[in-house]
Order: sequence, then structure tokens, then C-alpha cells
Amino acid sequence: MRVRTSRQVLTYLALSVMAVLVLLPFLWTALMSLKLDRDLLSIPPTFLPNPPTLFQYRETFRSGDFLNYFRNSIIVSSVSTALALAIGVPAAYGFAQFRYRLSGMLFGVIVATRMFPPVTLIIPYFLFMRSAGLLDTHFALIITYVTIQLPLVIWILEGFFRELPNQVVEAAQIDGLGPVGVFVRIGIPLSMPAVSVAASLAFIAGWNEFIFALALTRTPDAQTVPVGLASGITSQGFDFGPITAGATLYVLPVLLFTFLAQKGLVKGLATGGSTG
Amino acid sequence: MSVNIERGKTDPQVSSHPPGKRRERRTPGRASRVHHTRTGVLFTLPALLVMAAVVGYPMLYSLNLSFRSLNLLDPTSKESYVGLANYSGLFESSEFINSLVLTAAFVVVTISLELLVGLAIALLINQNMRGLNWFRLIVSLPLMMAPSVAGLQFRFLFADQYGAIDAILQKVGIAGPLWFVEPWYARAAILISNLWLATPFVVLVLLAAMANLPKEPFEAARLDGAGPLQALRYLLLPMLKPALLIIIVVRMSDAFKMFDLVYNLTGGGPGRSTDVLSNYIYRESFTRAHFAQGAAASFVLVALVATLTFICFRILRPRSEV
Repeated sequence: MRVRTSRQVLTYLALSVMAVLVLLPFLWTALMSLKLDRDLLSIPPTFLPNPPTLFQYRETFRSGDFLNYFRNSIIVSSVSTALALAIGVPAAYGFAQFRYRLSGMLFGVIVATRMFPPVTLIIPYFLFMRSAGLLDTHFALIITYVTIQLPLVIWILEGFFRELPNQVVEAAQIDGLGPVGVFVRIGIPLSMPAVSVAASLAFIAGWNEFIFALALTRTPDAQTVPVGLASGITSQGFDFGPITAGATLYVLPVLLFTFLAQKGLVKGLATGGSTG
Repeated sequence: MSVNIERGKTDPQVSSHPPGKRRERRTPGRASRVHHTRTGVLFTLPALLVMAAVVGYPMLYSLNLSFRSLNLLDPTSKESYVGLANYSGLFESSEFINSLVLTAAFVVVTISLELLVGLAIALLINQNMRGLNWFRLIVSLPLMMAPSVAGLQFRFLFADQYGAIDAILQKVGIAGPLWFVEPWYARAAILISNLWLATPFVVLVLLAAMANLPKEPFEAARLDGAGPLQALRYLLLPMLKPALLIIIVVRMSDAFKMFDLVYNLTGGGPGRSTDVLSNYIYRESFTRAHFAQGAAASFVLVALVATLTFICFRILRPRSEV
């Protein structure tokens, strides 16, 4: 009995240490964002903000650039997600339910594009957008984000559509529904949970994307939050306050969402997650 | 094997369904098979066309570019084919070799660490104890984070003097290093940050795999007097092989293309001591406008990842029986 309890204590202890390490970067950034400038650069650092203040948040929003970054991130991620779903959901259904001669290979090729380093695509896209005069536009980002999100959506959903109960599909066919009817009336409603997992992961992939936005945008008219935050480093030294406040605001919705949608996400994450 | 459920047809020779096609779920007659194929093509065609346009074409363009010379800064210069000159140029450049070696070493070290730490955390969480689901949730958080923002956050943590890590070390009586000045400390900072970002994926995949394992072999092994380490070595790890294959393949391609974290954490410095391949390619293309060389380097990276992925599948693919 004693062996078992001491083992439990050790488990909780080890996992608590792990939890602190996992949360430390979030916590430290959030704590910094609540400090005044003089506390931010004090040596050695003070751990707790004294007094806690929203000063950095007011600073962040004063210039207006940050609101633009946020607006751009939201527009670009949601439009590209919608496109990826509109094209990817039917495709996943087709790959899962109607196999044809090359479909397995084509599916494999689409999924394999996930392995490609994005840097390979950035060079041609930069040259295309440059000659089309589309650098620094939402369009440039939307189209490049689809290249990431579409394979992700197809990959996640193909597995779910494959597990659609055969009897339900056949019953619907006997009732006279054609393939499109079965897809719209049976396939989509039955896999709504999976579709929303795919949608959230695709949105977050766009929300977190960095290298395309870095290469293809130049001004706050089109730059997204991650690029805006990174540009804070180089412009005038290192503008701690607004960056920490901006980063906290940027990360918070994703963290909240993860807490709320935990159950469904974990399975999807194991297949589609990991970026890098 | 597919089960032939065509009713009414007694002569198997007449059956329109060749026995080799085991992947089809329903076994339609010829007319309906044409219909089946047509439906499949119709559902998947939009995605295939879009992928061809937004991924296939740019890739081919870039591949073609890697055999040409292109000077954007000089409008009078003519584009021309230069054969393999861009590629051979890469392997004569010490900068490229440096980033190639650095990236390969990083990939090996980080994946080994991720597997060790990930397995340990997964084993801890995979126990029948109250409250462990909370830890599972907490450990999954970094997976949702933008790696670029994680780079910023770790930059705050590792900052000398006003960073939290050195302050904590100071309290314990250790003088914290200047993380971004010494090459090896900068590399360590990247490894630690990347461990934070990537281990959650390993943990979640392992937990999902462990949840599906049968309990009996472990009971039997325990009754036969096998210790936990033996059970790990001879039972758990072999059973987790498919999961480990997925982890290694996914993490390898991600680790080879790592960019965001490095860009914000060290920018490749100090000197070129953390200049990973993607960082090199980005600088070559967008700082120096050497797009053709950048394209060539990016295809070296693609070839490397593709080859290693293939090798992994060959080595780790579970044999059909066993």
C-alpha cells in the first residue's frame, strides 16, 4: 500500500513540474504584459507585476497597427479555412467512399505535401505575387494558406468518412438519394463533429502561420499578428511591452478554445497537429 | 478480401468484379462501377485541380528555377539554363554545408530527446489515477501555439539579466549563461524551446496508441515476474512501433523545415551557429535575392526529407505478421 501511494505522489509531483514548465512561457509573457516599463527591464527581474497595470495593452492599441494585424489574421485565416473546407470536405468524402483506380495514390500525394518544407513554395509564390502586383495583399496569404489547410482537411476527414456506417448509406440509397444527396443529407450531418475539428485545426494553422506572411507581406495593411509581433523585435531594439501584450492577446483565444474544445480536438491533434 | 455480395449471379466468371479489387467496399456491376468511378472523380476533382494549381505548378516552377539563373536586381540580365550549377554551387558553399550539418544534427538530437521525454510523460499520464486528464490537457497546449510566438516567449525567458531563467538560476546560486552569445547555449535554447513545442505531439500520439493496447500481455508478463523495464522493452515498445513510426516520420519532416522558432529566438545567430536550412534558404532568397540558389537548396531539403521518410518506412514498417 505504501509503495502504491508513494508512487502516486511521485507521479503527481513529476507531472506538476511538467505542467509548470509547460505553462511557464505563457505565464511569464502574461506577467510581463502587466508590468510597467521600469519593471520590465529591472535587473534582476521582478516576477510579479507591481502594481499590475494595463498600460502595455493601451500602448499596444494606441498605434492602430495592432488592430490591423488582428483584422488581417482573422480575415485571412477564416476565408482560407472556408475555401479549404468547401473544396476539401467533398474531396475527403470522395476519397473515402468512392475509390477509383488512382484515388489511393492521389490521396497519398495530397497528404504527402504536408511533408514539404513551406520554404519550397515561398520562392515561387513570392515571384508570382511580385509580378502580379499582389504582394502585401490578403489574397496572397489566402491562396498560400489553402496549400497548408486543404491537405490537412482532407487528411483528417478522409478517416472519419471511411468509418461512416455502411447501412445508413445504403438505406439512404434505397430511399432514392443519389451520391450528392447522401453526402449532403447523411455524410455531412453525421460527421459534423469531425468537420468542426478539421475546421478549427485549419483555422489555427492559418492563425499561426508565419513564414508565408513574413515573405509575402510588407505593411500593416496585410501583415498578420505573428509577423507584426516579430517586426517589433527589429524595428527599434526590442519593444518588450507591446509585444508581450500583443502576444498574450493573440494566444489567449487559442488557449481558451483548446480548453473548451478539448475532447474533440485531442484525437484530431494526434493526426493533424504538430507544426513547425 | 472483398466479399462478393452480388445477388442473383451464380456464375463467378460472369461477375464483372475482378477479385484483385479488394479496396472497394460495395461491389457494383460494370455500369454502376463506371458510375462509382465517375462519382469519385467528381467529388475529388475540385481538390485535385486546386492542389495541382496551388502546389503542383509552383513546385514545378521552382524546380525549373533551380536549374536557371535569375537576377531580379538587374533587369537587363537574361534568364538562362545553367544546368546543375546552382546545386554544385551549394555544395561548395561552406555556409550551406554548415546549415546542412547543423540541421541534420539538430533533427537527430531533438527527435531522440522528444521520444525520451514524450515516452516518460505518456507513461506517467497513462496510469489509472484521478486528475491525470488535466495534465493531458495542459501538455497539449503547446501544440496549438504558433511556433513564432513561442520563439518570442522563449526569448523573453532566456534573455540575459532580465529573463526569468537566469533569474531562477541566480536564486539557486548558479550564474546564468548568456544564452544568445555562446553558440552552444544558443543551440541549447533552441533545443529546449523546440522540445517544449514538439513533445506534446509525441505524448498525444503515444497516449492514443497506448489506449488501444490489449491489457492481457502485460498482466501475463507481470505474473511471470517481468519487471516494469522488461515489460517496457519487450512488450510496450514493440507494440508501439506503428505509433513510433508515425511520430518519427512527422517529426522528422517538421524538424527539418523548422524556421519560425529559430527566426524569432536566435535569428540563426550568434554568427551562423543556429543557421538551420530553412533559415539559410530564406536568407539566400529574400535577403540576397538569390532565388535560384534558394530554390536549389529547398529541393535538396525536399530530397533529403523524402529519402529519410522512405528509409524510415522501410526500417520501421511492421512486418505483416509478428
